[in-house]
Amino acid sequence: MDTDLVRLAQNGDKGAFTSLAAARADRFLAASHRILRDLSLAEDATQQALLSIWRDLPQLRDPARFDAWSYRLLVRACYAEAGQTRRWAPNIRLLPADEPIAADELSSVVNRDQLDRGFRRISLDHRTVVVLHHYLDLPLDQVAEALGIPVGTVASRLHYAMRALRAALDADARSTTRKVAQ
Amino acid sequence: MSTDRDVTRIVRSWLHEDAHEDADRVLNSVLDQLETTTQRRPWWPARRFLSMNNNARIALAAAAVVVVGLIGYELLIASNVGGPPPAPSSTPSAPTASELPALPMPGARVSSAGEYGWTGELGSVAGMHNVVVDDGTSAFRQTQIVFAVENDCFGSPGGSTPTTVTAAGFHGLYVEAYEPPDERIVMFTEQGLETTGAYALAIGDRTLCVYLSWDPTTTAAELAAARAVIESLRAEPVGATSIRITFTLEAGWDTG
Repeated sequence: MDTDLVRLAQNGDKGAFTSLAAARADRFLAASHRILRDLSLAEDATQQALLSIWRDLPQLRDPARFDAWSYRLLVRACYAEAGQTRRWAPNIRLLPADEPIAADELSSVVNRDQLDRGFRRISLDHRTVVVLHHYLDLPLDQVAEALGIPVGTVASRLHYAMRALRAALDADARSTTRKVAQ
Repeated sequence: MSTDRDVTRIVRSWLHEDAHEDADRVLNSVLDQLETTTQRRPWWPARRFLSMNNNARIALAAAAVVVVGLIGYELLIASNVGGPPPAPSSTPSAPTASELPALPMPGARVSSAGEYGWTGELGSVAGMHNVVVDDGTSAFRQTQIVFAVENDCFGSPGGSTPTTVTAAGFHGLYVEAYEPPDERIVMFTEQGLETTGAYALAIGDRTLCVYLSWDPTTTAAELAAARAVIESLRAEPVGATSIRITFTLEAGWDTG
């Protein structure tokens, strides 16, 4: 754990902060890229998050909570970036995921575009939970801490998001099947 | 047959694909800005509160309650000085085609209060959000107002029994906890958790649907602010099937 570095950085040690930031920048950028689905916005969010960390670090009471706290600032920066670019657009209510789909059908049509489309269809809240849990591998309680919401809400969002992604994949698969049939 | 585990595996695999992100440029930019970015020192006296005895804590807490109460009282008094809000200037019974200016929707985030508007044909929809992000957490909540020109604002079942309502001087019906009939009206948030109140207001011989949606965490003040937007409505029929509206927005609203 970097608690010593955190304490030094809290007292204005730029070298210590540089070490902390360098160890996390790639991960921050990758996570924010996946949340925002836009590299330029992700770079802005990452930069803003790192600067916020530096600026507010003296106010972190427990250096051992640094990682969860820094993820919280990253998520806030992502929301801020997303808020600046939100556009009024028809929301897509996803199809129910009750109907099972064949694994071979799923595997044959799944590709990056389909996943990307499905991921863009779910809300920022849901994308964030999916990325924190399935990409950063944070357990649900740490996701909850990073987001400042109850664990139950995290679980609910994750459940919804995965169900919605499955439904989106299913819808795309069916669309592809129909096009092929035509 | 696919399982949730299949989807989880596929999603995890996709998320972990190398996207060729390189944060060096970002990191260098951040390090360049450190010199000019001042650290914020904590405002609380470090550890002093922990060392207080119980009587001192209670006294401090009581003092804080008194101060907050006084501030709240002052704000309450101040907010009532102006008296009740002015009655809406528009009347539904005598619309005039040239009465309202054709104003645009806000578009970008509104930075100060102003007058906006929209002209919608039958079947068209326009909406706006007020997104509030908590300073202390990443949580955000929103209120949303969607205007639609439709013949039937309550096109799907659900919600309370329609009650008569008057909003901004226009008479109509209101249903709350309503499942909107149109996907475009569902808030871009945790679907299924928001509440939607649907107004069907008579604008001359036409119907203006107004859908007000809010999150479970939306505060009473934020909801009141959204209702104030609706109360600021002025509306009139224009053309063959359209309705023109204007309304007042406070800072924070946008169409995104």
